[in-house]
Amino acid sequence: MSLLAPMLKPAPVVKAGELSRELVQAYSAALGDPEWLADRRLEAFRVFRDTPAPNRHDELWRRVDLSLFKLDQILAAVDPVTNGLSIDLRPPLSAETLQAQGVIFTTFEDAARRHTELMRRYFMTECVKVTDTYFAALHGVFVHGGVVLYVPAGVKIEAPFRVFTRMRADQRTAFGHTLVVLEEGAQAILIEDYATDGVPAPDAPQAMYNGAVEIILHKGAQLDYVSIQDWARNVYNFTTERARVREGATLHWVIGGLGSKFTKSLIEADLIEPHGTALLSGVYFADTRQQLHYDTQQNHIAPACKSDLLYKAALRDEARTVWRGNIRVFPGAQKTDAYQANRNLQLSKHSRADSIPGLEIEADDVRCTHGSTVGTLEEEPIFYLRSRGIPCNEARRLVIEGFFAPVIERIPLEETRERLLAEIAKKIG
Amino acid sequence: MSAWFEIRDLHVKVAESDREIIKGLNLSMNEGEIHAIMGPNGSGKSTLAYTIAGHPGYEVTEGDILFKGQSLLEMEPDERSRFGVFLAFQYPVAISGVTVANFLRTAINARIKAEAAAKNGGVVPHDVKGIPIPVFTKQLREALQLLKVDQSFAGRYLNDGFSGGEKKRAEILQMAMLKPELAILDETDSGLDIDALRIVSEGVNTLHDQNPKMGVLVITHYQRLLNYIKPQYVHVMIDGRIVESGGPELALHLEEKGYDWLKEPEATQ
Repeated sequence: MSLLAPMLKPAPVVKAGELSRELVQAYSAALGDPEWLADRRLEAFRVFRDTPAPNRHDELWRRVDLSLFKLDQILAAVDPVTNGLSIDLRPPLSAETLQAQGVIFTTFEDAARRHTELMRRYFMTECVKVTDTYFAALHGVFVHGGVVLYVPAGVKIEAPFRVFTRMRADQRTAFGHTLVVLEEGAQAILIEDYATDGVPAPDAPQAMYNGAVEIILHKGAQLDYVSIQDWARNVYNFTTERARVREGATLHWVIGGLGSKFTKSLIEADLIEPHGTALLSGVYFADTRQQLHYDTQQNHIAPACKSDLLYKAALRDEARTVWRGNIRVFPGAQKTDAYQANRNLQLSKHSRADSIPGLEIEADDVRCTHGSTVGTLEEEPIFYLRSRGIPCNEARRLVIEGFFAPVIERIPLEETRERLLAEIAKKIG
Repeated sequence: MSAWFEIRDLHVKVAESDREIIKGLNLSMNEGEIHAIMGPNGSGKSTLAYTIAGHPGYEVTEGDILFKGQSLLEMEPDERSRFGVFLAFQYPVAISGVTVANFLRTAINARIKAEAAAKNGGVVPHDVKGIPIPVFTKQLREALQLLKVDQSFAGRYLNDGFSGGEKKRAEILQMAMLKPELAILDETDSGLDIDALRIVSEGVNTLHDQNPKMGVLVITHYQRLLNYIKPQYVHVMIDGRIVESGGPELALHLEEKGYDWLKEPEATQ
């Protein structure tokens, strides 16, 4: 009996401290929220208060060990003054040119004040919702900083919009939000780079980034979205990211995972009208005792849509990665074409990669396939490269880069590709 | 005093096993010579090629391999390559995600770095520059022309999805770019149709004409490659040893008679 007891009453994975309505109101007032946002925070707080903390009975958190994560201490440190992010927006065209076309590319706060209608319509309404998860609710309470990109119907911008989001090395909390809305036939590229400014002291306290990404693509819109995460090693990174893809729209979504102590990212593409396409790619590399968890979901809600996911991971030292992917085909979503693959390259025997593909198919005329592999670095390619004069460490680097290449090539900006390759090379050592 | 390239009483076994494959092999070559080693399947020809290149799957238990007065056995596989040894693989390995051009540039730059390090007390100087891109591009273009392959070849992933003929051409392309002093061709003719065989052989011959000091060791089961790449010396390898050596006429004799006449005395011993 005593052995079963902990299973009957699972301990929460995390413990939140005492958050109160008054505290949330004070936070809102300190940030000078417009009324609509202040209301949203309180609504999020109500949801958060009623949402149980993640526990290991929940499939989503079953493989996660957060026993050392001190959420209550971190939340006690939430401060509207210090939890802001540094957001560096680099538009591809001059502000005047973009404005003339009706494009909005601005910070979350600016959009919250000046583009109220847009924000009230899209901010955490149809994409990421506060009811999604514990961390989505918490994000709704404390959201602060981030970026909004809006491209009106028919406007096509070929050069990338870029965002550099920085946490300070001594920062304890951050709650960045990304909202992208592309109207009918619009086209854009958005590249986000998340990192910590400077290096926290080795004994720096735990920090948390709790972000959300919302992407709404209207009919025939096309978006290339890239996000590279390179937080410092004291950061626990929780993100809820979702795209809603309407008729004939196309999303190319690449995530890069390099930093953080711990990451749990929920990444979801909802194909809600026919003939939408979602191409989801991931490249992540975990070292030391990093834990990177990605939960991906390809939801085929409408018929005749296509989704293709390829997530590739390398692991070394005692790192751990978990990919849990699901393709869900809703009743009536005939002619679905869905694929998912997760490839893991284990560079040390003490690292561990879990790869859990899943299919839930409720329509009969579909093509759904998946593949997942966990492998080690093979000797023959290394010997072959060495036989051409390439030293062992460089041969390893080439093979590992080659492993990631098919994903990295999907990034539409050379500078970002180079940055990712350089970080991968650093990790290989 | 050793010959330019010399194998002395070489014994090789499969690593982590007791299976001996090469059982006291001797061979010597002078600079610029073309030698052929012929032998039936299972005689140890490929093991010999891999051992010269330093494959970790084989272990030398006795003897030595000397090149330009130095023992190759003391060198890592990449050092052997930079020292001038090149092995054209029987089964070239696919390197997914690495383009032919990227790979070749890395290999050439590894040589430049190693040379710079040698002059700098073993440390690669920080300011060492790789091969200038225009120089590299020109060399690569010429090498591609030599092997009669399309320029787009350079942008393909190395050996990944290559046909048998493309793989062999890629090997000789690498040889052209890396300019070895000793080239070992391991069953380069296998899997080639007559046109590809001609192109690959002409490639090797052109490289030998360009650098007459390059030694070539052709390892082959069949005589047909030797119609194109003409050796001065032919050796017959059976059961891990050289059992017969002679001039080019030996290859023709083998073509006619097979290997059995050489095996028989072995069997009666």
